[in-house]
Amino acid sequence: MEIETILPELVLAAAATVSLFLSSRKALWLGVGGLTAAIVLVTLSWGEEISGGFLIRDNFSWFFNLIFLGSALLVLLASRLDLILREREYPALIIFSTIGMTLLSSSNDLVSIMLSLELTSIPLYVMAGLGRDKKSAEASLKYALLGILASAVLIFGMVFVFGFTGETALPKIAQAVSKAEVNPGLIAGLFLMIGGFGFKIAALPFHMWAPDVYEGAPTEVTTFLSTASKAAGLAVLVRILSAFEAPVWLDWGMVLAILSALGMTIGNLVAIHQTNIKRMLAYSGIAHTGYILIGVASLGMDGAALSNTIFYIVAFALSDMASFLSVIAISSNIGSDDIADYAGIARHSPLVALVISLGLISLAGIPLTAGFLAKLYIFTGALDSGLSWLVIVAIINTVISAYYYFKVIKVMWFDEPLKVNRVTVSFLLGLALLVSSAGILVMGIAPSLIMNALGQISLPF
Amino acid sequence: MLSTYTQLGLFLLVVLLLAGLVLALPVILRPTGISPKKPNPLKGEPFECGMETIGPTWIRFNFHYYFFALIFLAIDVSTIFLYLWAIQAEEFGKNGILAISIFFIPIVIGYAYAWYKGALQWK
Repeated sequence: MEIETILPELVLAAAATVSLFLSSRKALWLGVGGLTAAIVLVTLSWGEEISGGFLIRDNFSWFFNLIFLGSALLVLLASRLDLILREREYPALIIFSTIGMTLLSSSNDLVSIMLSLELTSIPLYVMAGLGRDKKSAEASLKYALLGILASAVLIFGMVFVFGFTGETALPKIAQAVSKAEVNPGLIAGLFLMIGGFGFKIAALPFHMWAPDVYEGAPTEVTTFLSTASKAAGLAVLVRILSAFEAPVWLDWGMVLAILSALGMTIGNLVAIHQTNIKRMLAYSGIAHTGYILIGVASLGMDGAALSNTIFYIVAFALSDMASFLSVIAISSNIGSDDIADYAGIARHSPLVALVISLGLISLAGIPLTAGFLAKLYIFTGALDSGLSWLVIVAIINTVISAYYYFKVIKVMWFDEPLKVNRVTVSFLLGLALLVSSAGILVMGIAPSLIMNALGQISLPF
Repeated sequence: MLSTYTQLGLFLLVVLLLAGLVLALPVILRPTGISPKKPNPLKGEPFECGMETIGPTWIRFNFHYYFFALIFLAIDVSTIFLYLWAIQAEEFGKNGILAISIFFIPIVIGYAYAWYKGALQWK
């Protein structure tokens, strides 16, 4: 294996390590510089395929690396100055976690998957507690304890898979699985692994941590959790599942379809009753994991499912990013996360209200935004692969979800303002808001730009 | 294929039932007089679990203890790896030195960071 294989990670690791010894502002700029350099390096290596031992860098991993690095950069730019000044390690923690994610999406072996998953998670546990208040500490502890449990379940599943195939490298596992007969050990292993990753992506039966952690953690960290961390879990889940594609007796597609239907329905129904916007977005994220799992469930049956799924992940990440970044802007000014306190925001600060409305509209899936096309692609793909019942459930859910997204928009634009407290946005936060909302519109109006790139992505087995 | 696992499952069931039975035996046999309940202070002692404690056990101690413990642990474990490398150092040659320094540099950086943050000062 050549050193170029992990060059972006080496640059990031150097930036993060040096930034530990610098003052807060310098650490921030070094982090931004390191992430930008890594983005350039990853973009330059688009199309190259390097595989060696534990890692494989193909278009799939390069593309996901761009998602992780991009959202880490946006989150770092959008972070409140007082958080950065108080916590000097914050940029380093974000970067260490991003290194874990980039390695995770390039992992080709159960061992490297586990190691990079821990490298992703451990900084996130710490970051959830950076709010330094009671809720934040609760979020951190809850996330850490449940995360460790999920890792244990995941390792247990990996042990089964290793025990019954005798391999840890994914290509060899794929070979062994395609030859294997009906095997309860492999079934148990795969489903335990789905459980472990289900925790990381907050899929339904493993979602209980998400609302509490999203609410308690600083909003910057919540943004990172709901975009990059979720995308990382999905990337590795897709890669692992593609290794289990062959056998007929192992119908994980149906299991994922059921998880997806449950996730959409319960996520959306519970989101209606939320009064705190971060909790509402957490449940909306659980529902969106359900929509994404429709694409993952049809991976084996539909050729376009891979690019549809990744398109949805990008669209969701951008829309969620726009919504959460506006929550940072609004909440730090009005000092509350309650939806009721957002009343009349649009009267005195229309631009921020416009961005959050755009994010919510895209999450609801209204035309001209990324969310609409993402849903369209995923639903047509699922229809082609014979999951029509799931599409019906999903469409009903889309209607339900429109209710609570539009409720927030209604509160902001039509209710009487409680306090006249203009929302001021710092230059960098404004830049991040601009990038994410421009991304939503570009993906919604000219999807071919990103679809062309997604067409070049394929999984090796 | 499945039948091989049925035996395994039955075996597991039998083991669990047996273990449960043995644990419940004293309670089940109490009415018969075979296992009477006669508690005394000597029986209540933690058998072979170290010294008997003196004074209250819930005392407060300095939080910095954990920093020292963690740093000690990191360095201590890395020494084991260093030792393994050291006894074969000549055979591993240049590549060995490279590998061990890649392994050791992050630990040294972590140690330097802890020092820089003042974690090694007893306050």
